[in-house]
Formats: sequence, structure tokens, C-alpha cells
Amino acid sequence: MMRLALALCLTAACGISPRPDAGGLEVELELGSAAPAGTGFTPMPAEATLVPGAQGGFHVWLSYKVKGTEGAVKAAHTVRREGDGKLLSRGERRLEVAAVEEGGWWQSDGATPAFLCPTPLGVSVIDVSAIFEVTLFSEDARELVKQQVKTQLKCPTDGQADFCQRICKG
Amino acid sequence: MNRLTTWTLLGAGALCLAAPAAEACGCFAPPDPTVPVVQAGERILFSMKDGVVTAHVQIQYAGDAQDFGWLLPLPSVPTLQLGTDEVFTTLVNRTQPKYRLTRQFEGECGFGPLRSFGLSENTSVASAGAPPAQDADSSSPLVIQDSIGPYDYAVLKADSKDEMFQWLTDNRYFIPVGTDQTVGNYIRPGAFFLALKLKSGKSAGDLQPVVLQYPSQLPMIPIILTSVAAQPNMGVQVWMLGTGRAIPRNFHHAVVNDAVIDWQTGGQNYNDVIIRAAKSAPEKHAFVTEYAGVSSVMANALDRPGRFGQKDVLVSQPDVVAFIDYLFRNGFPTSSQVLTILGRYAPIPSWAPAGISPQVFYPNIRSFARNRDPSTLTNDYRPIEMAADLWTAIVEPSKAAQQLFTENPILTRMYTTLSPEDMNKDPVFSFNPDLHMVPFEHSATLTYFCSDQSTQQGDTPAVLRTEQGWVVSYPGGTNKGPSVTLDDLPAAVRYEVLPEEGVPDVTIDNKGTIHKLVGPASACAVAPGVPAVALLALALVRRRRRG
Repeated sequence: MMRLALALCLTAACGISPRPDAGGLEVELELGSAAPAGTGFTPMPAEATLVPGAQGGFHVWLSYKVKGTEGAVKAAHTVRREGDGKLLSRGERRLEVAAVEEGGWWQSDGATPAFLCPTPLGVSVIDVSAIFEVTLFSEDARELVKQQVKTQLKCPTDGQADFCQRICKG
Repeated sequence: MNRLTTWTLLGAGALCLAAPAAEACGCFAPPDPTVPVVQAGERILFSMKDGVVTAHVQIQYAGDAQDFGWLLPLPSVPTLQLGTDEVFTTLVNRTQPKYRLTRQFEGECGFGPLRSFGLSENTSVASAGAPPAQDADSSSPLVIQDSIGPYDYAVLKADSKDEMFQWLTDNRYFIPVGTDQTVGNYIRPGAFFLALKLKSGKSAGDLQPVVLQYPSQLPMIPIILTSVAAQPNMGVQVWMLGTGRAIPRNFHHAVVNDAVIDWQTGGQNYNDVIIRAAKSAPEKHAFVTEYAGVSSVMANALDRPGRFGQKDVLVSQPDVVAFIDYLFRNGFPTSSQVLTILGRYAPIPSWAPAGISPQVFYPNIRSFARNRDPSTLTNDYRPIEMAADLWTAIVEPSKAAQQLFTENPILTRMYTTLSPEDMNKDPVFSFNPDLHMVPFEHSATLTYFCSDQSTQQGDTPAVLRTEQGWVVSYPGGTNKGPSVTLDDLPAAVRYEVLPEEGVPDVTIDNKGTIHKLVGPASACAVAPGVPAVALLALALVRRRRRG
């Protein structure tokens, strides 16, 4: 039952344990992806096609919607293989959350690449289920909110397919 | 013929290797002759913060200025600043692997001053952005075209290879043979290339490192592109700054077998060992961690209180001799960058001793110019411009680099060698804060077992015990070499995969093979004639005498 709840939670990309920010507001985070060019906010699809990066790698875009805080925050992410918990990627980015009207969501202007390929040696990410976890921290390193989302990673089927198969299989 | 380089200018790297005067091409020349000399084809310092990579890249080149070019793929439009060679010379020095051999003498040694029992002699310390000047129109791949320090540069969209190459050709950034085939992996929408060339009138001596900042999750070296101009067994040296030990994410990690190090020369065969270790790795892809530890080894290295003096005081110096003297009294390095600037404003005069080098002349200018009119050095003394150039090329980059070492607590130094045919995968670097640190100092003990026949140290039976516990015996003395052929031993104790968390995953373990030949147990078979019995006898003699 717990597993089912967690799975539902992950696929719905729901926020986990929102915490109040310094002003007492409850911080909320919605975690999604972006268009192939890294723009906009789209819900994380059940199957995410790896996006070719500019330096010869592949990534999945991460986009954020934030409610309940403003100013500088740090978004730290991890990506793990669901089956064995292997760490696939770790990164962070500084965000400047602008003020929005009360109850509104602030949305990141450019997506963050969660670097996946070249993968760590011996670790394939092709056709595996991966859990993306993002934690927002305040400037004084307080954890504001954490969220997870799960997706199945796929290589593209276009001209990048062979290259993806080569550098994403570990 | 013009040439364009990738990441660093590799064809020129070969010239650097051959050049006896390191300063001629900005190559590193270690001050200690017992330091293992490792001439890296590429030297890069990376640091990461908030999803932004800062890369200091040392450009090594010794050809004609008009033949210089540099091309680098990037995931985003970078900011470009000048760096300083001193970052690399200091990094190399302060994190250099050192192989320290302690010699011990057992028994009656009939040679030299070292006759007493158990005397130790520590004999060998080896060691071993500026706003764009021109933005592009929408149909051109050009994003930014500008100049900085000695360079003209352009940032180009990497959407189309043909458009990019055409622009480079039209603007005299020439493309070497082979780039066309290797550049394909980096051509895609949203990607960029940085192209660099020397400004008209600048010389190769004006070259200085560049500092790039660009948003990216992990640092990567575009080694596939580099293969176009690479030399066999080209060295790639990487330093990473961060909060934990850095790792090669998609290359193996090799742990050097210290039994094959030539301890008696302070590890002069070190680079050959690394070449062997890399060639024996899966896919011939393996980095060695040469140091992982606190970044405070670089404390005060580049910027310290009082260094560089004060700019206004410098500018107020009455003549060029006093100006130059002030520089070296206030810690300016005798780097090629400094000397090139001085040479431009105050060339070595005809009255200077014939053949004197800039490294000797300028730091000692006060002595050479005694009783001479400073105007014979230059009758166009321009202290403001000189100081401005020095601040831009030396002082500001040094202060910025020092700040990186202050902000990031852990420094990792990694090294490998690669031949062009093996440059088929771009190494990506990451961190694993769970891994232990790696010292750069290593030690071993060489024990001589003297007898009445021992008249020459090199002919005296000896046993080397390494830091990793291997025992290499020299039954006929070190002059005759060890009882095993060291080249037969694996160059790496093990190859492993370093994950981003947790412990290493060993993929090839050579311990058993090494143990059979130089394991502690095999030490008893030191050699026909001398070994075990003789050693035992010597030990008994020693005990009786002490008793």
C-alpha cells in the first residue's frame, strides 16, 4: 500500500514535506521538464527522451515551479536508478525566485540539464526507471522543500540513437 | 601553413616538449632536477559552483604567432577572462607526486661515511566578460566577436558545421586537416564554439591562459576534437576544485603499482609508468589520482598580503629601471607573460651582456643598469600603460585564481596519457565526497646489507620496501638491478570504477600477479647466494654487537 502511494506520488510529481520559509509561508515545489530547447515548463513525462547536450552528452531537462518563497535559492538535484538506487547524476543551480502575486507560482526561465550521459562506467540509463529528486535550499542552507518525480529514460530514435546507445549504457 | 588548435594547441605541444627553454613556450620547467618531469599536453583547472563551470586552460604553443589558433566546443556562451601561467606552474609544483627514498645500512659497510648500523640517509626527495564589441546578425553563426589581452576571439553557434567553418575561414581562423571529421559530435543546435587567435602584432610569448565560465553541470574535455593535433601518449592533467574528491566519471581509475617506480632516481620513470598503466586499462582509458586533499596547499601561492605592491606607487617610479626593479621586489613572477610585456616597453639594450636572457636581465636590472642612464633602456617610459598591462595580465588573474582556492576546500589532481587513436571518448569529471584523500608524497626504504666484502654501495645487496609493501630485492646490488624485471610487472595495482558516492568498484586486480614477484614472501628469494641466509646472519651479527 505504501509502495502504491509512493508510486502514485512520484508519477504525479507531488511535493514532499513542504516546509515553511523564513516568513512562515509553506514552500511548494513542482518539478517538471521542458521543451527540447530547454524552454518552458512541461510535466515530467512517463517516458523521457534523453536530450543531446552541447558538449556531446545527453541530459533530461528539469524545470521548476515554486510557491511560497522568493529571492535566491539553491536547487540541488540527484538522479537515481530506481532498481538499485545507483546515483546517476548530481548537480545544483542557483535560482532567483521573483516575487509573484499571492498564491501564484514562480516558474524558472531556463531549464536545468540533469546530466546523464556519458554515464558512470558500468551504469546504463537506457530504458531504466529513474527517480529525480530536487531539494530547494535557502541562502542560509535551510532545506525549504524536497520533491521527487519518476520517469523512464529513453534514447532518441533519430540520428543521435547510436551515439546515445554508445555513451549511455555505461 | 596556418594551424588551428583544439583545447590546447597540440602540435605546438610537441614543440614545447622539445624546447629546452621552457620559458620560450610557457611550458613548465621544474626547479628540482629529481622531480619526475611530466609535460602535459593539456593542463586544465576546473571549479564548479551553482551549475557554473570555471575552467582555467593553459595554452602551450611555440610556433609562429600567425599560425596560432584555438577552437573549443562549449554548451553555452562563455565569459572569457585572462588567466596566468603562474597558476599552473604553482599547481604543478605544490601537488607534484614525490617519491622519497630513505636508505638504510645494515652491517659493516666498507664504503662512504655511512658505516654505522641502521644509519638512515634520506637521500632522494623526488618529485617525482567584457561586453561584446560586435554582435552578429541573425543569419551568421557569429554570436560574439571581441578581443581580450593578446587574443581576438569569436563565439560561434554550432548549429551548422558548414556555416561555422565558412565563418572561421573568412575570418582567418584556419581549420586543420581532420577537424572536419571529428567536429561532428559537437555540432548541434544550442551549442557554441569559442575560436581564439593572436592579435596582429602579438607573439607566441604573449600567450597566456584563458579563463572560461559557462553554465554546465559537469566539466568535460573535448578530447575527441583534440585528437586532430595530438601526439602519441599526450599528457592530460586536470585539477578539480570542489567540496569533495573529484573523479573521472566515464574513465577508469588506475592505482599505480609503486614497485615499478624508479625510487632511486626519484621516480624519473614516472611518466612511462603512467603511459603503461593507461595503455593496459580497459579501452586504454584511465586516470591516476596524483593528489586529493586540501586546497590550502595553494594558500598564498598567487596572492598574499603585500604581493605586487601598490599600483600607484609603481606608476610613480621615476624611471624604467626603478619601475622594473619595483616589480621584482614585490613578487612579480619571471613568467613569459611578464617578460614579454617588459620586452615590449623596454627591450634588452645593446649594452647588456651578450646573450643574456630576459629571465636574468630584468630581475637584476638594477645591477646591470648601474652607472647608466635609464633612458638608454627606453626613451619612451610609459609607466601608466605598463602598469595597466601588468595588472590586466598578472595581478587581476592571480587574485581571481587565488579566490578559487579559498572558496573550494578540496583539490584533486588527475593525470593520464592518451594517444590520438584512443581519443574516442570525452572524459567527464565529477565528485565523490566519500572517497579517501590521496597524498602526493610517497616513501620507500632501501636497505643495504653490508658484509666484509662491501666496498661499493651499488654492489652491496639491498632490498627495497615500497609504500605499498612490495619488496624488490637487489641481490647483486643496485648497480646490477633488481632480481625481477620491473617492466614485467603490471604498472597498476588495480583498475577501478569510481562512483559518485560510496566505495570504488575494482574491475581489474593485479595484486596477486604483483605479489608473486615482489610480495613480502618472495623477498626471501632475494638472490642466489646472498639472500635469506646471509641476511639472517647479518641480523644475528648486528644483534650480538648491540648486545
